[in-house]
Parts: sequence; C-alpha cells; structure tokens
Amino acid sequence: MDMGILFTLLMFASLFAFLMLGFPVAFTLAGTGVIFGVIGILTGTLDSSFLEFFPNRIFDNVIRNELLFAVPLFIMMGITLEKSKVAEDLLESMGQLFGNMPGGLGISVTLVGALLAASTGIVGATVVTMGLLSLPTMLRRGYDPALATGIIASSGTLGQIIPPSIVLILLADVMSSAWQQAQLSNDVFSPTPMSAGELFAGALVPGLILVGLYICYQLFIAIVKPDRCPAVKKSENEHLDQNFYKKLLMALIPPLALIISVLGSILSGIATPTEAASVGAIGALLLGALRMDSQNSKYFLLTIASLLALLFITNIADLRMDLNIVQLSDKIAFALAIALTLVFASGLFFALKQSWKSGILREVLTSTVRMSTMIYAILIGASLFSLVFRGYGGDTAIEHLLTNLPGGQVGALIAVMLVMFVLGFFLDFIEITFVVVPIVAPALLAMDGTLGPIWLGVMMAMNLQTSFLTPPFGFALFYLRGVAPESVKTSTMYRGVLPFIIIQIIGLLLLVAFPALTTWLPTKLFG
Amino acid sequence: MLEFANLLDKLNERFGLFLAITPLALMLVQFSIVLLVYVFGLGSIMIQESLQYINALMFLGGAGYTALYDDHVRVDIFYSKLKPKNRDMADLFGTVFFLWPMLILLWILTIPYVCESWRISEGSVETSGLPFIYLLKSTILLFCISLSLFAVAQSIRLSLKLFTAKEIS
Repeated sequence: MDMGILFTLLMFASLFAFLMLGFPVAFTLAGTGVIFGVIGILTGTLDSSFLEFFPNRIFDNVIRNELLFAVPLFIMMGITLEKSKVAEDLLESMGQLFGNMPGGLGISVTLVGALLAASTGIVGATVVTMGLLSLPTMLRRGYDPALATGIIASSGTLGQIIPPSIVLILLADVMSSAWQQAQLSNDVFSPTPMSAGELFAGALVPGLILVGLYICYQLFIAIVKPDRCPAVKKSENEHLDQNFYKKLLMALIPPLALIISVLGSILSGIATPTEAASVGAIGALLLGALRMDSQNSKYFLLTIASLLALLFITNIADLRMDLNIVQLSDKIAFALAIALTLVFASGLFFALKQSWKSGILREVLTSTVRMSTMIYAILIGASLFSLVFRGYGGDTAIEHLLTNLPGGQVGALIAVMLVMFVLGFFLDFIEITFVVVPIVAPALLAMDGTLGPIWLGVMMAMNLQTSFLTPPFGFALFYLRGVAPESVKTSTMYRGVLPFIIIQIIGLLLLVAFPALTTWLPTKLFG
Repeated sequence: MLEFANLLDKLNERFGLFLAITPLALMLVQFSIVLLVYVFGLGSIMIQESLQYINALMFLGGAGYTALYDDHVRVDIFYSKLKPKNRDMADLFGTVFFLWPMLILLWILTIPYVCESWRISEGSVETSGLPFIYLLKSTILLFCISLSLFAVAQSIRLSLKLFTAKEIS
C-alpha cells in the first residue's frame, strides 16, 4: 500500500473521530484538511503548491456560483412562512379540515411537512418545528404516541426530497459537476449538463409516491385501529359555518398557490431556481404581512393583485419598447405595466415596513444570514478538505476501490448507498453532499450501467432520508426527542418510526425496479 | 482580557446585524431582475453580477456572527451529553487545532491572492460586467477577519473559564 492511500484512509478516519468531538463541522473539515496538508508537505508526500489553489476555488466554485443564490432566498421564504405563522395556520386549518375523520390530523401533518419543510432543508430545524407545532395537539387528541412521533419524524424528513428543497439544490450543484467529470473520463468531450430543475423534476414523482405511501399507511391504521388516531370530537369542532370555511380557504390557498407557482415555474423551465426563489421569498413576505397585519390587508391584497395583473399583461402584450415598430396597444400596455409596477413596489415597501415594525422582518433576516452562512461555511471547509484529499490521490484511490468491487456497477452502488446510510447517522445531508458525493459520484457515474445523475441523486436523497429516520442514531429522532415530552418514551418513538422506515425501503426498491419513476418527468419536461 | 473578548464579540454582533440587509437586498435585486427580464424584456449583466457581491458579503462576512450565535452545525451526538466543562474543553481544542490552523492558512493564501487582483485592478470576465473583481475577491478576507475576531474572543473566554475557575473555587 503506498503512502497516498494510507494517508487517504487515515484522513477519513481522523475526520470522523474529530467530528465526534462536536466542534462545528465546517471548521473541523477545514482544520483536518490543514493538519493533513501540513503533514503531507513535511513528509514530502504532497506538493505544497496545490494549496495555493484554495482561494481561487472559493472564488470560482462558491462566490461565483449563481445556483447557490437560491439557498438564502429559499431559506428566507421558509423562515418567513414559519415566523409569520402562515405555516402554523396551514397546519391548523388542514387539521380542522381532516380532523373529524380518524387519522385526519396525522395526514395533515404529513401533507404540511411535505409542503413546507422543503424550504429549510435542515433536518433538525424541520423536525423541531413540526414537533413543537403538532406533537402536543396530537397527544391531546388521544393519538398513540408511537404513531404520532413516527408521523412527525417521517414528515419532517419528507421535505428534503420534495422540491423545491435546499438540499436538492446543493445536491444538484455537486451532481452536475460529478456528471461532467464522469463524462469527460469516458471521453465524452461535449458533456451534457444536469440542472437543478432536472433534479427537482426527478425527485417530484418519488417524493409524491412517498407521501402517498405515508398516507395509505395512516389510512390503513385509521381503519384497522381507529383508537390509535381518533377523530377530533365534534364538540371541539362544531362551528363549521361559512365563516369557518372562509378562514380555512384563506389559510390554505395562498401558501399552496405560492409553493405551486414557485415549483411550477422551475419545472416548466420558465425560471431558474434562483429567480423562482426570489419570487417565493417576496410572496412569503406579502403573505406574512397579510397574516400578521389584518388591518392593512386591503393594501397587501392590492399589491398581490397588481403583481398578478402585471404577469397577465406580460402574457398578452409585447412590452419591449426598443423595437422599430411598437403598436399602440403595446404602448398602452407598457404604461399600464409601469403603473402596476409602481403600485406593487410601494405595496411591497409598505409590507416591508410593517413587518420591520413588528420585529418579524429583522428576525427573518438575521436568521437567514446565520443559516445561509452556516451552509456556505461547510462548503468552504469541505472544499479545503477535499483539496487535500485529492492532493493525496484520494479520489483515484476511491475510484479504484469502487471499480474493483465485486458485482461491477451494482456492487459499487450498493456499497456507496450502505456507506452513506451509515454516515447519515452522524452527518447531516449538507455535509454528506459536500464531502462524500463529490468523491464517489464521478466514479459511479462513469461506470457501465449507470442510470444517470438524476436517478443517482434521487436515490441518494431518499437513502439519506431513510438513514435520518433509523434508530438509534437517526437525526430526525434525535431532534424529536429533544422537543417531545418526557412521557413519550424513546423506545415508543423507535417503534413508531419503524413502519415508516419500511415504507422508505419500499420506496427505494421501487426506484430500483422502475428507474423511470425518476427519469420520466425530467425527460418529458426538459427533453 | 474578558472585556477585550467582549469587545470583539460586539464587533461581530454589530457587523452581523448590518449584514441583515444583505438577504433583503439579494431578494429585491433578484426580483427586480425577474421583473425586468420577464415583463419588460430588459437584461443587465451588471445587475446580475451585483448579486455575487451581495451574496459574498453576506456569507463570508457573516461567518463570525454565526459562530457567535453557535449556529454552525455540530455533530452533537456526544457533545450534547457532555458536561459544560467538557464542552468548553472540546471547544477550546477545536478552536486551537482546527479553527486557528484554517484561519492561518487562509490568511497566508488569501492576502497574496487578493493583492494580485488589486494590483491588476481585475475586472469582470464579461465585457459589460462590473469591473470590481478585486473587491469581490477581497470579501474572502471578511471571512478571515470575522472568524479571527471570533477565534480570539473564544480562545480568551474559554481559557479564562477553564484555567482560572479552579483558583476562584
């Protein structure tokens, strides 16, 4: 065994041991990189000049990476919906809508988790929010604690695989360069790219299948053992008059419309994820203002209406004024569009002012800065780590290892999936995406029989999601434990999550048996 | 000494609060681009490139502030079960053996990198882009500065806590 491989293994082992200390991941990654870089230079195994690339890597791969702008914007959208209680209302209204049938409350939690968890993407944060919001209600309404915690933990991880999710954006970024690398190493000199939109499209059907399976399981329980998930008693829910339905629609439709339009504009290829994310963040802000400041609701509604009118005009008229011949109708439309833009801008300014006054905007903004910085710092730490790792020839060593496994591509795939599953006990999605995926994905994608980057990405995402649910280390359980009352035993939680792990495994097997579940929609949409 | 550490923290805190305008700016600028492009059919590489500056300012400048709030994720399977004193020891160990080496390396590598860019007044690769690449590259120094402030403060605070507590008690 040559020095390079020895150092590669040692480097990974040390990283793992160091991470267990609990020091922030970003700095541990970078620090391990530096320590091994210095050792390598001192022992003559490494050439010192390769470290000089590091600032330029930060500049090229991180600072100038436009796809990553979507991350702070989606975070902002998620935090705004959460802090301005739009998410809470959504959960409550859904609970009321479905609450009077057995299992209804749990199904609402699954649906809301699938919709809203998407925009934060940090397993811990999502599970904590969902746990705080819905666990007390479910227990009070007489839900079996095992079932309730199982539903919450599983729904909290569901958001990762349902687009638009932050981890999918990060994964798309890493996957697309892995895919380019794989094609180049197979002598394809004009490699086809893979976009975040394509990965979103690929993840949509599998994600919805999981939601469907979760709901089917809950319906099954509701029919077989209705006392584990009782309906909300009529007395608590009797004023089902017109007013109630109006409130319900108000809580349900706006956030749903927002998320669907953001996702739709990405999937239809109209907008890039970053553009769609900015619209999503603005929309969330207006919905938040509408929710928190009911006195001024007519202004906010006017603002939203003017934006919709603007989009309508764009569709029926040509607003480019620098053409040679501009028709009169287009001129009128242009003037109208300017007016609408002004109305919208002043409405937006007013909404910003109101939410600044209430203190929500400040909270949203500072949280967004911190959460985005945290993700970016891991990216920087991971790129220093992998720079040194590559310096030792670690990537070729791993590639060699994978290609020599028995069973060819399938064997390598199974090995990678198992390793990722175990790593998922200790590391969050983001770290695995930045550290492990860039090392293993190019080799996997270059091997014969590969099903392409979209399929591999979705498999990895679903695999990790399963890992986060699996006792005793699963992230989701770990965080849910933190917010669940003492009366709910940890063993109860483990029991509750088991059926959902089985569902996840069914989902993974479905993807393996029918790869078209992921590849069909991207091909259909993006050709 | 402790006052000095608190002063450094305050600097990071102030800067972090100032950075709160960056996500707002990012959202507004990106949204304006969407309106200009999709509604009025106008595009500008300069405005597009300004997003890079805003974003870089946020995530590189905010690193120290985030550390101050302890929002950099940890693998806390064991950490969360440690006694406060052992946590402090783990943190001091990490600061000395991971954070400091990273910062020293970054300082050594980034200063010549940024200086070179200033020397040639590096502009955008796009002809109609923003000609301030040297400023954009300098944002990497913000990462070094804000984290160094944090690292100094953290080293002082933890050492004082760990090594003087005995004498008091």
